Amino acid sequence: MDTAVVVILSALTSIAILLLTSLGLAVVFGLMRIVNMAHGEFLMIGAFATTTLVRSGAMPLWMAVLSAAAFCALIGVVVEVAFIRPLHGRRLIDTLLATFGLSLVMYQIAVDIFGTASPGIDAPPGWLQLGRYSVSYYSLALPFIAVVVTLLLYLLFKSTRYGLLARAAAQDAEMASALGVEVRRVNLYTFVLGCALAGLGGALLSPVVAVSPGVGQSYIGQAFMTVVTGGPAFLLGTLSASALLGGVANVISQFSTNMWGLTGLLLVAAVLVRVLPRGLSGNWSRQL
Amino acid sequence: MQITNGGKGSGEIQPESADQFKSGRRNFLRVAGGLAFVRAMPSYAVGGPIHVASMFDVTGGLSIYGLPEMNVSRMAIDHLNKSGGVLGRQLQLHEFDTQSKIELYSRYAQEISANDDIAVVVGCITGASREAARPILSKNGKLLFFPSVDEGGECDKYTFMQGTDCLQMETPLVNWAMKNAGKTFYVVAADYVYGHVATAWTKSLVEKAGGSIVGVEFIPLDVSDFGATIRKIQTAKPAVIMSNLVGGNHAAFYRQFAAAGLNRSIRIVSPSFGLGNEQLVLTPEETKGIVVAYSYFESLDYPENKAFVSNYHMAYPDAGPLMDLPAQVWIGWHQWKAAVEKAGSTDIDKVVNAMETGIPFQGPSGKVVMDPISHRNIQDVNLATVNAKREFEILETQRQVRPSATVVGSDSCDLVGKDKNSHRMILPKI
Amino acid sequence: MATDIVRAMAQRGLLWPVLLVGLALVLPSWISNAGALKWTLWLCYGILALSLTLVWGVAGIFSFGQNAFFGIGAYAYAVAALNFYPSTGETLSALLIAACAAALFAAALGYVMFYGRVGDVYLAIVTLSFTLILYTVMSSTAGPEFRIGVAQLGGFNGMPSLPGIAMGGTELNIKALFAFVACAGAALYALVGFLVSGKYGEVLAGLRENETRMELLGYDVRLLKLLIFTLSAALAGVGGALFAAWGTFVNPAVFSLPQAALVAIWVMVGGRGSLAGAFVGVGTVQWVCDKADAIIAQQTPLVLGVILLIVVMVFPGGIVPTLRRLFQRISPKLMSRTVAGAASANDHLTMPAALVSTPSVRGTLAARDVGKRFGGVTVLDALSIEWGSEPIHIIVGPNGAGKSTLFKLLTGQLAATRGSIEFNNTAITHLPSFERARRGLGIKLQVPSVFLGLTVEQNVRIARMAPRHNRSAKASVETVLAAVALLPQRQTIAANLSHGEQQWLEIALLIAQNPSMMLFDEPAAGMTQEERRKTVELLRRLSEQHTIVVVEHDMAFVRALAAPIVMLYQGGIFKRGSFDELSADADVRAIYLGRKRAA
Repeated sequence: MDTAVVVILSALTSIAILLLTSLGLAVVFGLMRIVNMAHGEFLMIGAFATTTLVRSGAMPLWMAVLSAAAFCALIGVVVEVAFIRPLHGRRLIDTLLATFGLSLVMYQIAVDIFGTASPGIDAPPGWLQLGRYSVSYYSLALPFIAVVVTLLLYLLFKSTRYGLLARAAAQDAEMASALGVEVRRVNLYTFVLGCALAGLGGALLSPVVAVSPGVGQSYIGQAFMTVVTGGPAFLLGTLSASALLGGVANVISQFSTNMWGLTGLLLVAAVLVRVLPRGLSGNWSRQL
Repeated sequence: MQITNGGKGSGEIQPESADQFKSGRRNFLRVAGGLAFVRAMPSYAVGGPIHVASMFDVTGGLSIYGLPEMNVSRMAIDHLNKSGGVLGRQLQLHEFDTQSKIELYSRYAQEISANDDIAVVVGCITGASREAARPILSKNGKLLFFPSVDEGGECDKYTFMQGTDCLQMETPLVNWAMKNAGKTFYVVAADYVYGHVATAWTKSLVEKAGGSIVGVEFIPLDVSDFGATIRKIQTAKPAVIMSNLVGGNHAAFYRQFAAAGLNRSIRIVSPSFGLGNEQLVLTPEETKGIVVAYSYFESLDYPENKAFVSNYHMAYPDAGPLMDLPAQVWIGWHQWKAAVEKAGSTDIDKVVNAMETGIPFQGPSGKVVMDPISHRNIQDVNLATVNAKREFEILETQRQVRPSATVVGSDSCDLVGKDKNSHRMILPKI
Repeated sequence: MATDIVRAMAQRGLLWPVLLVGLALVLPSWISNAGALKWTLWLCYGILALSLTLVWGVAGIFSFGQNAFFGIGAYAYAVAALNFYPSTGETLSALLIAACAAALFAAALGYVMFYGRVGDVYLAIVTLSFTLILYTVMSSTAGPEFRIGVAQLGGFNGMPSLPGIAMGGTELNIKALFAFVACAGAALYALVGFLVSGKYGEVLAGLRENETRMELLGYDVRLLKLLIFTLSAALAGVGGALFAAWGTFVNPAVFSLPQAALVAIWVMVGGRGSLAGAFVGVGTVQWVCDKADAIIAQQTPLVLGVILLIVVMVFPGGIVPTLRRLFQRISPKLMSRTVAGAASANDHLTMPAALVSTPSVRGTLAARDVGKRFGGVTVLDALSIEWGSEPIHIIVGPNGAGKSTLFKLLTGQLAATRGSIEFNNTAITHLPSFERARRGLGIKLQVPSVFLGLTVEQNVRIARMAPRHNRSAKASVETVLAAVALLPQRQTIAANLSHGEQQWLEIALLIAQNPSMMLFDEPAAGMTQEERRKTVELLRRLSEQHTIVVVEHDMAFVRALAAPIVMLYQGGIFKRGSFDELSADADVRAIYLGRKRAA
């Protein structure tokens, strides 16, 4: 009994991590058709910002997490204005390569500032005893945070003016601009939102992983797969893809080995691309 | 990128390396430390300089290991030159930055092989990089000193292994755990060759000591979510975890392990923790109780070590603490020097013969002697744990631990007997 | 004289290969071993970059996982060489096996992607994921059970001590290997250059410029993409095998994300449209990587990132095209191909006696009970309609009546939710677009759909080459262009034509395709009064041999065509009749004036 509960809890944590590390990519890709190759570096910046703030004693973890997201949003503004906006209307590949160039630069700057072995921070203390098992509170909190973030995003896109405009712009940029939507401003908001989400993801991970300049790169592969298998409904599609891929990987790891868990994740993703080339949400009528 | 510096014989520093020294904070400090520049040194040279090489990953993902190793290499050459050189000749170090790219090991190994002047290489970090370079070097008659800890199995007449092997590290760890923690072991290991071989050693050592293995798990190198592993560990309820994890992603294991409160009841022993300065990345709360085994720690109380440490930190004030790998680089250069002077020549076969006589060297890690059969050092192994200041504190010292000449479950190596012409790697049969 | 030869060779893409072979034979005697090693590596990378240039620059498919095939080639070479070299004493067979292995994987992946219609954005991510999956899989082969013959895969550590390129029991030394790889690179370059400069090259260019048009002309786009993807993978595989032979080892790093991106960077820096750019890009980027450390110590990624940003933002064309433009400005004679003199304005539509030498059979087309729903919205509802009884048929209707959707169902760009479609009395309801086109169904789309980056003449040639089932005669390029009065602009890039001229060019493509049934979706849109008059004349002329269906808004145009009209409204047929009948109908006028029809 306690085993079943712990397996489910552990799977939920894995799903939450996958979701939190993919959402930023999904928003930018879903609404702007931009593959942000610097996504991993935004995760990394979020994580470093958090550890730095917490270690300096300036603020508690939760406040540092929010500040880290805000900091990433700020960098997002600069990046959008300097590199994304001028490429508007060019091929997808151009923004992809530009953001990759950016990721190299950001990585190296992080190496120069933090070195390759930078001190980390503790996770909030405490654990829950479930029969033979103990589960840390923090890993229990992650799924809740993921759900709250998803809900907030849903509300944002469903019921704010920005949300409506962003979705309209994604549907047809020309028509939206003819209707008077300021596509430029909406795109800026969307990109910045994506960066903030990436920063938030990295910030939330910072107490449970070893934060290093390369930390983002280990998540980007799986984030890509989640976004692809999620399909056009960038919010709920990504949520279901995270649930499927993260769940499969975790549960297989529980009963077999990590290697098979990873292999299972990849297999499921491959099969999905063949069966549903437009992703899990390819045939849904909703677009969120 | 190849930088030639040091050495009076060929004199001037090339413009590009001069440029290099002008920029970059680290390099500025290097100049300020007065170590890398040997331009102003008087010449003791009888003939020309002896050319020697180092290749390490000074940039890229592995620079965490490579940068201190290259720094110490430079420091050792400088030290040898100041104390009269080797055979009265100055040394000229050719530095190769392999940029954490394995294909550069192959390329630079071929480049070194094609250069008749280069007498010896102290270099390579991972087993993979060594296996990319070693066959090329030994095929072309170049001597290699490998300064990393490794899994064992190298059996090459022209290669000397400085670091401790699995058996040297794991024997004291298993014995210590059996005595202080308990008899049930759970093994978590990185899913690559080192992890597999180390795990095989753990199994055989634990069984020999009368303990039992309650679980083994191999973790792919890019995994950093250990939820499933931690659940399985709790099911198996071991007294001790033998961690053969490596790299940045795997450091997350210790965090998630501690966050679930497991470090109160289960001991972690590890022959790989700390090489990447994990004790700095993790918090003292998380590293409490982890026991490691290496031949070298910064806190060792030898006069040779005191001088070594203070020189290093004077030259590189913003560098982290010295770990086993850079110390082995220092030892490697000095063992080679002793062998060359005994042989009276840099000729590879004469130097190898001299090495095999087992000249004792008193260095930062105490006394080391080369074992002729395995081409590995007989050396002290220290057990240590991390204290609240994120430093290693030595628990106990095992004197002059012998390396293994066999590969677990497989062949044995005898480089003065049956394998005296071998240039091979013995693969484990697990 | 000498410059003439050089120019002729440059035009056939042979200049570089000859230069390379020359270099390969001359250089080794005086370059250092270090230089030979470096250049051999760059050539291996160059072959990889060349393969991406072929699939991306030429055919327009952005494969972000080209290094996957490089890696597969390297591993295949390793396994084959370790197993066979001891007995055969050569590794050339391993080279071949590497090419085949890479092609095989590419064929499987390509089948999934192209036949599953994975869009271009997703294609980039799927190919990238593919290489990252290989990275994970190959990194997990450390266990002793992963062994092929005598070759142990070795996981993260990879496979060391591979035999180099060997013939007759001896391995090539450093300089001989350099010469070998240079010759191999030159041969592959020549092969690709040959492919790209011929007919096949024009088809590939069409694929890059306008996939939809290719499909509507009757090309099987999926198959074409699969073929070119597989071929380029084989190239990459050879590059990988040479890389493994050069380094005598291989490990999963070949599948890593930085490696995947590096390939795109090379091609981007060199210029993605240029074959030579592949090698120039590799040389430049790798040289910078080697030297970056000397410029700013230990900041290689930073330097690389900045270079990439500059190239993307400032020189999106890359080095070679930029240089070529510069060169053209300095010495236009040497570099430029012969460009026809400025087109003289030709105001008269000169109609040749016959557009095609043998008349094609007039086609018949019938939609029976056809419907289309998007999600919950019904766009077309149980529509039945037949064409072919008259030379010209007209469809009118207000915006949103379902006219364009109907055309898309007929051509197969959309699948009908219900009903069936018959063409020349055979059911085509479930046939793909290109198959319908091959049977003789052609369409001119509302927004002119031509190959914008190609010349007018190339546009028409691609249409003429399109495969089709009946072997009806083809009009010559000149005849077709004369028919639409574009002969003087035959060398003009289509993008530089006026909107009306682009419309005519698209009609020219239809004429060259010579289908028995021609659909026109608003052919007069954006045309001047004079152009409309000429278009009417042209359609009349075409209707002598083809069945024509026109969707049009412009009432003067519709009247001039003087043909039976069907009016669609809200997804169904609202009225049939002649122009005069419809214009007299009060309901029709009400709809066109935007008023709601009385119930």
